[in-house]
Parts: sequence; C-alpha cells; structure tokens
Amino acid sequence: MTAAAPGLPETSPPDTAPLLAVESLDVVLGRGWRATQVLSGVDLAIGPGEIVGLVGETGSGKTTLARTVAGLVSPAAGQVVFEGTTISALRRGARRAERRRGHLQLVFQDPLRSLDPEMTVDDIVAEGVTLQGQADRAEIRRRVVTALGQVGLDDSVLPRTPGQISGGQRQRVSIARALATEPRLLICDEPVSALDASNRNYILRLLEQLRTSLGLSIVIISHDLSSLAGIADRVVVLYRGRIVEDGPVDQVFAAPEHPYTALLMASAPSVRHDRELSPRQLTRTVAEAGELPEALLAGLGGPDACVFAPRCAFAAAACTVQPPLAAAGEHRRAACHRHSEWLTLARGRAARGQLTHHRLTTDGQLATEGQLR
Amino acid sequence: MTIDNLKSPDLAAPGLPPTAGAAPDTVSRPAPGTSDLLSLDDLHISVHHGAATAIRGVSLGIRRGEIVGLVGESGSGKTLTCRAALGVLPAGCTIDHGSMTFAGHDLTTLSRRGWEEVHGSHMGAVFQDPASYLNPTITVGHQLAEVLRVKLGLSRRAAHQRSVELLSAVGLHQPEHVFHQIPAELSGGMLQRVMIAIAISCDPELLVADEATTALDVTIQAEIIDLLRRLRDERGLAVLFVSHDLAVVAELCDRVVVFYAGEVVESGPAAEIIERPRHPYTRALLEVASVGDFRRRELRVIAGQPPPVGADITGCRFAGRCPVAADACRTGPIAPVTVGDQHEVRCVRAQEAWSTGELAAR
Amino acid sequence: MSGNPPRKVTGRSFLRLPSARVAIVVLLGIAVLTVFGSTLAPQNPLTINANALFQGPSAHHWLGTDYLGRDVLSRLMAGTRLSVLTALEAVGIGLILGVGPGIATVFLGRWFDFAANRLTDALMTLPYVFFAVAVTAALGNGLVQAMVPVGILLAPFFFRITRAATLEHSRAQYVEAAELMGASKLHVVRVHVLRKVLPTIAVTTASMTAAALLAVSFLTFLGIGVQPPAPTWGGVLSSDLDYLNQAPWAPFIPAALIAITIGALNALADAFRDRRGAGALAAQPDPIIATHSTLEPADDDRQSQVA
Repeated sequence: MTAAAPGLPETSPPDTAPLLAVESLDVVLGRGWRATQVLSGVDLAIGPGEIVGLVGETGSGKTTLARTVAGLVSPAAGQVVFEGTTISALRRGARRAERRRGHLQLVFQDPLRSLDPEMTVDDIVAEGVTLQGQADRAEIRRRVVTALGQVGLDDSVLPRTPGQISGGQRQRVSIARALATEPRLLICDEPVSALDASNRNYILRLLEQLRTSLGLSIVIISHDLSSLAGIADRVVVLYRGRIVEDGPVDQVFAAPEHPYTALLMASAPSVRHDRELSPRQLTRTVAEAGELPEALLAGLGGPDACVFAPRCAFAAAACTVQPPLAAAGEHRRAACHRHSEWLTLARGRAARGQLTHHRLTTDGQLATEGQLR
Repeated sequence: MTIDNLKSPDLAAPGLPPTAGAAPDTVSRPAPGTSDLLSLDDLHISVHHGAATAIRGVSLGIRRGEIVGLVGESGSGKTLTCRAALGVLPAGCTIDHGSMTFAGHDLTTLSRRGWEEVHGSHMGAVFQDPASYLNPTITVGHQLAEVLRVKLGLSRRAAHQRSVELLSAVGLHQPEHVFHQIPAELSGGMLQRVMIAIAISCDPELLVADEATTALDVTIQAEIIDLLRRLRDERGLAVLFVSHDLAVVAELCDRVVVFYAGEVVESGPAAEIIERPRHPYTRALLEVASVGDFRRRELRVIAGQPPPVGADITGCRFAGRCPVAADACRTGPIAPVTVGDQHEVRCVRAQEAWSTGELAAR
Repeated sequence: MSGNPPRKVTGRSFLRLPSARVAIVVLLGIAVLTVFGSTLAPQNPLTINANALFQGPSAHHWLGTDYLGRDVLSRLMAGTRLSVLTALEAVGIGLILGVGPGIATVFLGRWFDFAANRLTDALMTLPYVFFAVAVTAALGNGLVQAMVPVGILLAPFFFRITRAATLEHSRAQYVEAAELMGASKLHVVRVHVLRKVLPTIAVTTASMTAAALLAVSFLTFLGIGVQPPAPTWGGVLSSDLDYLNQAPWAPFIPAALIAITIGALNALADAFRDRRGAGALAAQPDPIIATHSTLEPADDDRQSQVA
C-alpha cells in the first residue's frame, strides 16, 4: 500500500505496518437536527518516510480528517491507529500522555493564529519539549536551536515574537515547533496556501528535505494540487467527505481515474497553457442538466447518489448509487462507476472544439487560444 | 462583442472637473480600445506621512474592455497603486508626483463628491475577503438592492428585480433564492460573485479586482476568472486584476504589469511577456509559477528578499537579487526601455539574451 | 522560561493620554490622603466650634464649616481613609471571589459553569443596600462589616468579565496547538491565558473600585456602618443635606469630591482599555503599506541551504 518514495535511502517493503492507519472513519459534526456527516468511510494508510498529499475543496472534510487524526474530534465510527495504538479511543490522561510523546504533530494553516502572539520564538518552539517534562533547560535549548536550524532559521529569531518576523519565517517557526519533539509524522494543514509562489516552493522543498534527512512522514493537506506537486509520493483526493481517488502521484496526474481529480487539474492556473482538459469539459452545465430526464436528474441529486454526480458531466444511471472506493490499477483506487470510460469521453468533448477562452490581441481583436500561439 | 452600452462620462456631471484646457463642446469620445480609460503617469506615492516613498514612477494604462494584470510580491506596490486609482489610499499616504486620469478626467484633484460619483458608476472594486465587506445580518440581496436604490434611485421593486438579474448575470443559480440568504449561508465563491454583482451593478467601465481569487478554492477560482472574462466580453468591462500569482494573471489578462519594490519593471502583452520575458525578475517569477503539467514541476525559489518599503537605492532595485546584475545597474536610475509593441522593460540588459539557467535559484 | 511580554508599548502610550495623566494625579492625591489624611488635615476634624457654624469658605476654613462648626476640609481629608479603604476592601473581596472562579469555570466543565452562572445571576439581583443593612443588623454596625456584602455582590461582575475574557482567549488556535502537544488545562492557563486576561482584570478593578466607592458613600450617607462622629464622605454629604436651608452650597463639596474620585477611576479604566487595544493594533503589520500579514517573502541567505 505504500509506494516507494523517490529519494528515500531504502525502499519500504510493502508489508511494513503503516505508521498511521485510518480505518472506515465516519465523522459527524453538530448535534441533533444540525448534525452533518463530514466524513464517510475514509480509509487511509501512511507509511514511514512517505509524503502524502490530501486534496479537497472547502467542505471536503480534509481539515476535519486532520483534526480527527489529531484527536480534536471523535469519530462516529471507525478508528485511527498510530504506531500500533488506537489513538481515537484514548481519553484524557492517556490521550495527553500520547500527545506528549510528540510523535505526531500538526502544523496549522495560519501561523498568526497558531502561534501565541505574546510568546517569543524561543518559548514557542520549546513548548512541546517542555511539556514532555524530561529535558533540562540546556537540552531544551539545544532542541530548539536544532529545530530552528532544520528549517533554516538562526538564533537571531529566538527573542522575537511572531509579529516581529516575516510571514515566511512564521510558517517556518510553526514547523520548527512541530519538529522539536522529533516526530515521526507531520500533518500540515494548508502549509503554503497563504504564501506566494517562491515561498511556497521554498517550504515544499524544506518539507521534502525533512523527509529525506529525518525519515519523517508528512501529510500535506491542500485545496489545490500545485501545493503538493513535486514532492508528494501519493495523492488522496477527497470530495464531500469521501475519498474519490488515491494513488501514486505520477500515475494519477498522467491519467486520473476520477473526473473530480481531472477537474482539479484542469482548474489549476498555468502559465504554460499545457493542460489537456478544461473545467467546462468536466462539469455539467445547467443547460446540459436540462437535457437529462427528470427522474435521472432527481436520482443523481439524491442522498444515495455519487457525491460528485450533481456536478459531473459524465453522470449516468449507474451514478444514482454511490460507487465504492475500488481498486483501479496497482496501488490505485477510485470511486467511480465509469472510471475507465469518462476520460475518453472528455477527450472527445475537447476534440469537438469547445473553445477554452478568449483573449484580446494587441490590436484589440478577440483571439482564440489557437491564434495566440 | 457589443460595447455600445458603455456610458461616456459627461463633462457637465457635478464633481468631475474637465481636463484643463479642453473646451466643453470639443470633447473627443475615446474610441473603444485605442486610448486609455484609466491612465497613471509617473506616480510617486509616499506613506507613513511622508516617511517613505512606496511607489516610484509607476505608469500604466488600461483601455476599455481590456484586462490588465498587476503582478508582484506583497509589498511591491500593486495594491497601493490600485487604492490610489480608486481614491481610497490609507491615512498617511499622499501622491507626491504624477497624474491619474480616468476617461480624461483628473483624479488627483477630485473632490469627495467627485469620488462618490466615480465609485460604482465608473469604477467598481472587489477585494480579497468578500465576507468582511458584507453585513452579516442583512441578506445579500438587500445589500445589493441598497446600492441600486442609493446610486441609481431605483424603486424597491425595480431594485429587487434588477438585483435578481445581476445575481443571475454573475452565474449564481437560483438567484431569487440567493437574494434572501445572509452571507453566512453562502460559500466563499458565491460571496465573491455577490461582491462582483455589487461592483458592476451601476455599470462601471472599470472593475478593480485586488487579489479577488486568492482566498478561493482552485476550482472556484477558475470559475471566477471565467466570469470576469465573460463580463468583459458581454459588457466591455475593463478589469484591473491584481494578484501575486503570475499563473492566474497569465490565464486571464491581456496585458501584464510586473511590479517590484514600488516600481513597474516590465509591462506588455501577456502572451509576449510569458513567452519572452525581458526583465530578470519576470523571468524568475515565471520559473516559480505554477505549471499545468504537474509532472514537469521543479520547485524553484527566488533567493533573497525585496528591499524594505521606501528604501533608498541607487540604480535598479532588483540588483541585489539579480543574477545578471552589472555595474551599470547600480549607477543611476533605470529608465524604461521599449522592447516591443507596447512592451516596456526597466532594465539596462533588456536587449540582451541570456540563458534560463542563470536565473532563479540553484 | 525566557518570557518577554511587550507591555512596554502599552505603558508608555497609555500615559500619553491627557485624561490618564489627570486621573493619575487625582488618584495619587487621594492615595496620599488615605494614608496621611488625618495628619495632613489643617485642623482637628472633631473640634466643635459653636461660634463658627455654617461659615462659607474663608482663609481659616478653606471649605467652610459644617453645622457643628467643624472644619469641612479637615473632615473630608480625615474621612478619606475610611471611605477609600473600605471601598478597596470590597473590591478585594470581589476580586478574590470572582476572578478565580471566572478563569476556572472555562476549564472545569459544563456543570460547574452552569452552576456558577446561575449563582451569579442570583447575586446580581440582590440590592446591596438591603443586604448591607441585613449584615450590619446581624454583625453589628461597622463600615467594615457593611462592605463585606458589597464585596460579595461585586464578585459576579468580576466573575462574568473574567469568564468572558478567558473564554475568548481559550478558544485561540495556539491554545489548541498547545493541547495537541499534551498541555494540561493548568499549563494553558498559566502560559497562554493568564497573561492576556490580566489587563481586563485591571480595567475591571478600576471600574469596580469606582462602584464600591459610590456604594460606600451611599451607605454612609444612609448612616449604615457609620460610627459618629468619625467623618466619612457620605456622612458629610448626608448631614449637609439636612441643613440645606442654612448652607445651600455645602453638599456640593463632598459630592464633588466623590464624583471627581469616581471619575478619575473610570477615566483610568477607560484610558487603560483604549490604549491596550490601540497598542495591540499598532503592533500588527499594516496590511496595505508595509507587507501583507501572511503573503510575505521568506527571509535571507539561509534559503540557499535548501538544495
């Protein structure tokens, strides 16, 4: 289940127990009539030294998944197993003790909120180690300096508060805080979403380097693929609380098995205009919906239907039932009834010449994509 | 493409002073697409009550129906420039030098009433976080209708109807239903569409979008970009699109203006700048920008950091980070050089060709 | 731990406010009177002079004399101690009873919070005057005894305000981050919450002191807790009102003293609250001019180390 990660000193054998195993996770938030099912039947395994990208839009449940793994939310069904311990079943003292071990750390999205604005960087990074209660002051200081060094910061930031350093540095301090307890697994919630392209790449490279030098496993949660392309070994795509696709990143990008994955790829802005498909070819417009029979349309919008059916351009009668997450190739899974057909259909739509967009040429005339090349 | 529904500003409108020297009856209507709708010329803006000059010599123009992208790192001055053009500079900022004209009218000396006239009717704006610009306790439809009643004097019923039309025009399904929803019930993408509806409700000629898609999911971002393009095509709306993401700008814009440390370092047609960037900073930005084929992705970084706002630097402000900087770059101010049709670069080495390998990070 | 709270900013800028400066001067004066009032008084506040009743302000008696010919200025100065100290006593009681539970209730679970809130609701409905009367009837007439119920009835305010401030800070994401690293509630309070709640408590204390002072004045005005002929502000005011015909100007003097002191306390509280808020805002980077708070370039030459 764990793909061999490029750059690792040795390949992890396929039957190694996973570092983190999420099993049939159901999470419901809210109470009574306001309860909503945020995650349904999520199955996930992270091996040692793996970088896994977890992708989903707002409402996909990706942040809830991170919070459930971290123990901030209790699952309605299923469990989370980390290093052999079912951490989702721990409570209070046992949970605190497990957290103090510091093997699983969370890096939050916005360092302005996740770092105490009145604490110095020194204290912030030291907090996790201090809580372990075993190191003396000298050792704590050593660990802090080491962690800061691992993210490329030197001692000069120690006495400063988060407001006194730049945004990129803040994000690195946030990562350093997680590294100070020498974790095995790092879960990063949108670590680069608030950064510009250069900083984004810098942080991603940093994470990759941490994986290589420390053997860390990293889960990167993001709403778009560009945040993890280049360093992720595997990608897991979430939509409305369900995994719709996962697999080795190269294979998924080369030939996605689920239309939503393709939609994510098609939506990503690019300077090279080298995308194969456009969002219009993958989503169902209102006009096209009008062409479908009433009964089918109602079925596709029903509670048992595939979660992506309301938007999908390729939804058919079979899609009125949620497809299971089934194997779709080696080490790949996809939840789509038509996973071997829709890509061909999409390419057909593209070939039939749906114009992607217009642009003005220098003399003020409308030009199509082709004219500009 | 029909652009004859555009209003031309009436010289007799209160609050809009005519450009000096123009006789009232010889106003030349700017022909669509040739002369500038909004023109900024050699703008210098200081901040913190004159403590630092944040914008130096910024010149840019946007024509009717054109989509112009302002791109650059944060602190580069692109947002400040937009705010100056909109007349909403923060306290402590002053325009020290230069001119701003909108359809021939001088904006630097515009009175408060003049700005009230301009806002909404001639220039609309959308910003990054739509939820913070909407009253959370009032339905979005009523907030939109309020604008119509105040600015256009429409009756309640007419405003309601027009609001629903506008909500539909920005791509919201079931606009009648959305009208009665409060901001908390709508997603980020829908809220941004509402903001766009408000911004275009009085038919402005120019829409300023400052990081309008930065906080949105990538699929929604693509839809909003599509919407802006459609608005331009259908209404002849000119768009000034500000973003730190060159990829988004490349997707949407006809022309690109690249900002660095308070200056415009390159400006020209988007296609040309993407294919053949002339300024080392633009080339660096391209190297790090997202690419569509994720497999080909290498993670490049631009080393170093931009100078502090208002720093006093002789010569090129990028020289400290530029991999091909020469002595000539540091001797004196760098003047823009024309390297193509409406393509200008502020670089002494613009005419030379150098290898891609020299640029961006190791 | 090498902590370094940036409180310097608020201290300096707070004193720049003119209202704060005036308030501090006034309160320093009151503090001096509290300690040295009796000795500083120009004349004996208890000396009766039948020949000099209801005199207006003069060189000998700066604020005139009362219905027994006693020097008003001396009475007020001597009376400061009792009034102010008992007001502080009430505030102290309220602080101790209110702040601790206010912080604890956020962390002790829903049932404790429910119970504490209901108790607070009940206490807030009680009028302190009747409560004070009841206590003095039971424990004997003395101002110290009378201020105990006032203190108890101030506790709910301390409780509510402290609870609100604690709630706000306990929901911060950095608190969640600390909990994820295994922090106990005690650690969270000690390290992250307490420091941030203290300014709110300080502001509340100033306001509550003003309220307690008003309560003292009112109680002594009514004669509760007063051991005549010991002077108190409220007592002087009360007797002045009895003799309004003979000396119509007289009540204004103690009333003004009470009002000025209370005003100074409230001004101090306001200034501190405003400046603390402004200081916190000023510490944030300006989003438009300087740099966007989150979209920022990473820093320096260290970047080259990342291969």
